[in-house]
Amino acid sequence: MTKVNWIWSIALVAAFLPFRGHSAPPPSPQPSEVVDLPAERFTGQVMYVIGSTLMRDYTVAIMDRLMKNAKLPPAIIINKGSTRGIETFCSGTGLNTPDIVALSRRLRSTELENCRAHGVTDIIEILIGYEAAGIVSRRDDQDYPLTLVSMYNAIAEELPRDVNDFVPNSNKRWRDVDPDLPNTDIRMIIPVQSLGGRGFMEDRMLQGACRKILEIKTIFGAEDRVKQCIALRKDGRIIELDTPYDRNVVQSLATSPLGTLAIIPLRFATEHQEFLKIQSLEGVVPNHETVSNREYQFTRPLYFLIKKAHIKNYRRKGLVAGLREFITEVTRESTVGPSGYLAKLGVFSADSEVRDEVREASLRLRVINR
Amino acid sequence: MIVHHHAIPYWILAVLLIMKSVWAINPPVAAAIHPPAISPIPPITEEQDLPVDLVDERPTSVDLVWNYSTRTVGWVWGTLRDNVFSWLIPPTPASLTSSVSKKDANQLFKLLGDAGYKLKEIYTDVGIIPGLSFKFGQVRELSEADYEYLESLVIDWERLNPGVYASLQRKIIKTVIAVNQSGDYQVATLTVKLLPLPDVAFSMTPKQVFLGEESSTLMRAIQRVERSIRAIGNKDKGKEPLKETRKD
Repeated sequence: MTKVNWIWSIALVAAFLPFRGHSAPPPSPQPSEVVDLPAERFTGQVMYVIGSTLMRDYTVAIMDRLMKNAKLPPAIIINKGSTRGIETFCSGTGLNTPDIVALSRRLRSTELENCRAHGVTDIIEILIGYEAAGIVSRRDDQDYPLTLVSMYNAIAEELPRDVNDFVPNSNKRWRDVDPDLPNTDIRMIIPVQSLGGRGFMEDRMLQGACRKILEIKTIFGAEDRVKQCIALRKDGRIIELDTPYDRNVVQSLATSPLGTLAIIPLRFATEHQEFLKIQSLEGVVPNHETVSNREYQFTRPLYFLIKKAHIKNYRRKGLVAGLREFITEVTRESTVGPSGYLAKLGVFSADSEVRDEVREASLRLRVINR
Repeated sequence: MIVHHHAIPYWILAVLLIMKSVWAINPPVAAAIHPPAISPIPPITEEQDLPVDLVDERPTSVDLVWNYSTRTVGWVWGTLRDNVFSWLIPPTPASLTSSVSKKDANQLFKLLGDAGYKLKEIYTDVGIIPGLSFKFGQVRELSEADYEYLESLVIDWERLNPGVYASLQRKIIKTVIAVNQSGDYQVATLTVKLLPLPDVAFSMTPKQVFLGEESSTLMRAIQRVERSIRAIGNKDKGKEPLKETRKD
C-alpha cells in the first residue's frame, strides 16, 4: 500500500468514528450535584436511576425483575425527590449523569426547556400509573361526605369573610363546616412538613380547594396566595405525624375520638379496611376505577423518564446496557397492568387505552414532543 | 304577398282577452286589490262621472299580474337572502358576541381563567369584513401546583378534542404557560382575534419592575390609606388588626 493510500485510510476511519453508535456523546456540563458513582458505572454495564423517594419501591421491584430475568447487574438508585432528581437528570448526557429519573408528578414545561438547554433533547416518558391518597376515619365512625372546600374550611388557619379580609377559623365541629357532615369534633391527622405526602396534600387538596374559593382566588401574587392557602390551624385540631407515618396513623386513630380523619396513601387504607373507613371526596369513593379514570381528584401520576441518548441501539452500540430491557419491563402488562406487580405495591394502573398508547410510544422509543 | 304592417299583434289581443276574462269571471279578486277606503267617500265630481270603459280598468288587471309577479320575486329573493346570502350581510355586534358562546370558545375562556386571565374587553368591527377580538388581562399569578393542574387540564382536553381549532387554542395556553414560567417576563394582556382571521397578540411585561420616584410615592400613600382603613374596619368589628402578612 502506498503512502497516499494509508493517509486516505486513516482519514476515512477518522471521519466515520463519531457515527459509531453513541460512543462519542456530546460534551456535557457537570451534574448540578456531584455523586460518587462506583467504577462499574463507567463501564456502561450499570444503570443509574435518580428521583422521587415515593418511587423507590417501584424502581427496586422493576430492577429486581431485570436482575433475575435479564441477568443485569444491580442498578444505582438514588432518591433525592422529583425536583432535585430532574435537575440532575437534565444536567447533561454521559455516564456521569443519570439514565433514568423517577417522578411522582409530570415533567414541567420549564424543566423540559432546561433539559433541552443542557443537551438532553430526546427524553422518553413512560407513565406507569397513579398514586392516590385517601381520607380515612375509624372503622366505627360515620360517613363524611367531604368536598375539597369543606375540608379546607375545617383545617385552614383563616377563612375569608370578604375579599382581603380573613378571620381565624372558628369551626369546631364538622357540622359547622357543612350541615351534611356528622356532629363530631374536627380533628385531622396529616404528615409532617418533611414528608412528601404533605406537599401532595398541599398541592392537590388545599390549593385545589383554594381554586374554588373566590376570595382566595383573587389574590394576585402566587406566593401570597399559596401562603394564605396552606396555612393550617394551630389550635390542636391538626395532628402531624412522622415516619413510619402509615403505622402511626393507625395507632393514633385507634385512640382518637370519633370525628378524627387522616390522610394516608390509598394503598395502605385499602389494605387496612378492618380498622379504617375510606371516606368519599367530592362524591367520589376512591377505588381502582375512579383513580384510573382520574375521576377521584386526590391522585398524582407516576413517571419514568429515560434519556434516549444513553440507550444502546439495535446493534448493541450505545452508552448503557439494560435500558432497552428496562423499557420493555416497565411497559409489560404483568408490570403495570391492574394485576401487575406494581399494583400490588400500590400503583393504580392507568386505563387500558392509556396503557396501550404508552406501550406503543415507549417501545418505539418515541420522545416527548411538546 | 300581403303584409299587415299596422295590424295589432295577436298576442296582445290574447293578453287583453285573458285580463278581461279574469275581471269578468272573478270581479272580487280585482276588487280586493283596491279595498274600500275607511274614510267617508268624497262626492263624485263631474270629471269622474264619465262613462267607464273597460280599457280604464286595464291597469288594475295589469296591477294584479304585477303584484303576483313582484310577490313571487320577493319571496324568491327573501328565501335566497335568508338562506344563501346571509353570510354576506354584515353581522351585528350582538350576533358576533353570541357567535362565540360555543363549546370550544367556552373551553378556551375556562382554561384562560384557570391560567389566571379574565376577559376584560370585546372589540367588534361591523362592516363588509367584520372584526371580533377579545382582550384578556392577568388577574393572578399561578403557583407550581396551579401550573401542574393546568397542564393536566390541557392534556385531558387534548385527548378529548384533537381538532385543529382546539389545537390552536392549546397552543395559546401553552405559550402563556411557557412565557410565565420561564424568564423574567409575564404575559400581561392577551388579545385573541377571531375575525376576520385568527390571530393572537401577547403583551409581555417584566415580572419585577422598579417604580419611578413618583409612582413609588403614590404606591406608598395608597398602602398607608389601605392600612388605615383596614385598621378602622377591624376596630369597628371589635377585633385586633390583622397581621400585615400579605402584599396588596
